[in-house]
Parts: sequence; C-alpha cells; structure tokens
Amino acid sequence: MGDRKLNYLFIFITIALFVLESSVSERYDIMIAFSLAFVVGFIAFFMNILSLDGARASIVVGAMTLGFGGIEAASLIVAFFVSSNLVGLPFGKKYDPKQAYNPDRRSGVQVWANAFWFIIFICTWFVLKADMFLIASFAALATANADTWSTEVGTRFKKKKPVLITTLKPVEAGTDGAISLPGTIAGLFGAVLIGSISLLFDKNILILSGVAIAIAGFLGNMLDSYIGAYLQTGEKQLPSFWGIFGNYENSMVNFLSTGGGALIGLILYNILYYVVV
Amino acid sequence: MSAKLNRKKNVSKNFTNQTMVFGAKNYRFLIIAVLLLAVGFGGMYIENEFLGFFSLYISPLLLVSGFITVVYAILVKHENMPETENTL
Repeated sequence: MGDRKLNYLFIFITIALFVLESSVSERYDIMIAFSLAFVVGFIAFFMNILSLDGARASIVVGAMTLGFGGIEAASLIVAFFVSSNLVGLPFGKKYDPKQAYNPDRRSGVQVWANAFWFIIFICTWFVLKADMFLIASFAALATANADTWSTEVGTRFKKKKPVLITTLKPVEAGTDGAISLPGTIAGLFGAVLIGSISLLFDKNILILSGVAIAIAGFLGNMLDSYIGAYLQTGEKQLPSFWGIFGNYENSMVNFLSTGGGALIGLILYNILYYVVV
Repeated sequence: MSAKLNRKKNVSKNFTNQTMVFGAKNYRFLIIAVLLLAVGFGGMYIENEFLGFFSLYISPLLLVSGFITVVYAILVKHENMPETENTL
C-alpha cells in the first residue's frame, strides 16, 4: 500500500516541478527520462529482477532521477542497480536462502526504501540548485549501495558467524544488525564506488565531496546495522511514518539509514567545504 | 499442469486482496486541495494585476496550502486501509 501511495506522491511532485520549475529543455529531458524509465522498468520486470510494484516504483524513480538529476544521477543509480546485482556472484551461493529480506524480485517497498531520500534531495537540488543537496542525495545512494554490498557479500561467507553490532555476540547470518568483517569491507567498497564515480562528473564536484559521499555511505551503513540491532533487542518499534512501509521492518530500517546517510553527507560536505576551501 | 493452476489461483487471490489506495477521506482532502489551488490561481487571473493585493498576499498562502493539502491527501490513512498488503 505504502509504495503505491509514494508512487502517487512522487508523480504529483514530478508534475508540479514539470509545470512550475522546469525550463523548456528540462521538460524535454523529463519526457525522454520517463520513456526510458518505462522501457527499463519493464525490462527489469520481465528479467525477474523487479515485481510489478517494483517496476512501477522504479519507473517513477528512474524518470525523476534522469529528468531532474541529469545523466550524473542516472549513471550513479545504474551503477547501484548493476553492482548490487553482480557483487555477490564471485562469492558463490547465499548462506541462508530462506531469509525473507532478499527475495528474488525486488518489491516497490524495497525500491522506495532505498530511493526515497535520494529522490527527495535530487528534487531539492533541482529547485534550489545548491550543490550540497546533490551531495546529500549521492550520500543516500552510497548508503543504499554499501548496505546492499554488505548484505550480498556478508551472507555468502559461511566460516565465521557475524556478531550483533551492539552486543558483539555471534548471531545468524542475515540477522538485522549483524556485522562481519567481509560484509563491512564490502560495504566500505560499495560506498567508495559511489563516491569515486561521482568524481567523474564535471558538475562542480570536488574531491572533498567524493570523500564526504564515501564516508557518509559507510557511516550510513553502520547506522543501518545499529537500527537493525536496536529492533532485535526486544519489543522496540520504529515510528510508523503514516504506515508508508507497513510492517516491512527491513525496508523501514533501510529508509531510516539512507536518510541518516544523506544527513551525514550534507553535514560532512559543509564541514569539509568550510575547513578546506 | 496443477502447479500452473495453483499459480493462477495465487495470482487471482493476490489481485482480490488488493484494496483501493485512496478512501473517501483522501478524496475529500483532494477536493479541498483542488479548490484551494483553483481559488489561488483564479483569484490572480481575475484580479489581473502584477502587484495586486490578492496576487501578493492571498494567492501565495492559498497555493502553498493547496500543495501541502495534496501531499496530505495522498498520505493520510483512510478507514479501510490494511496494515499490510500482498504485492504482485
């Protein structure tokens, strides 16, 4: 339910920005972006990567990313999409295929949990044209990428059990809040990948912004584990945010951690900017 | 063959379990939002003055509250909204 509501909300935001904020050339870009996102979304659906809900959500996310963020944001989200599907392959089969957090097809709720803050900050940047919001959106994506890389790699190592981030006691692989050395290193590389790709663009992105994105992505990933561990410890519950994510606990954790990662990126970029420049 | 039939059954079951995204409450707020936006833009059109009182002081408030009401209308929980939902 929540992902369908978010689809409508962001379609409304797209129309509002299209009518009120965009120039003529930007309007062409948004229309081309929508067509491309439509094609890519349904290709992903037919390739068993996304569910129908996931395809709908990814069309909205793709159209807004390419339409408002431009080719830079779109190439980052493609890097996230491709790398998160490929990163686990060299490490063999998953440790526990029964884990419900990683079904074969990604649903709409999962798409929005990872992309919500990314899109919000892309839209903010589109309206205000302040670089710090672009950095924050990339930091949210770096967090999502680090989290996916950690999960994909961490759950494939069988030899040593991971530990819970809060108590450091061994737990089952795939438990919310569990961390392991391979998973943490993979998360670090996932965040650095997004940070380093962002340096290739000539959109006034400095080295320090790439550093801010990578650090924020890694810290966001740690925050993700911490929130997951917080929920493991008993009857604690997260706020419902108007029931957007229902009781999909893992998606709620991802939603909060990507938001946290974006906030860390925003603050870190401003601190680094005023210290270095 | 039976597996195929079962799959079809599951798909149709999922379809019937899906409920409407919006309820009466959402539509009520959506109508209020549309009215706010219509009055905001319509007032400026009728006044037809670049620095008029309505354009400077009334319309901005009406338009901003109209856009916020649209967001609220989409997100607000309606009476029959389930906590979880089957996804396809």
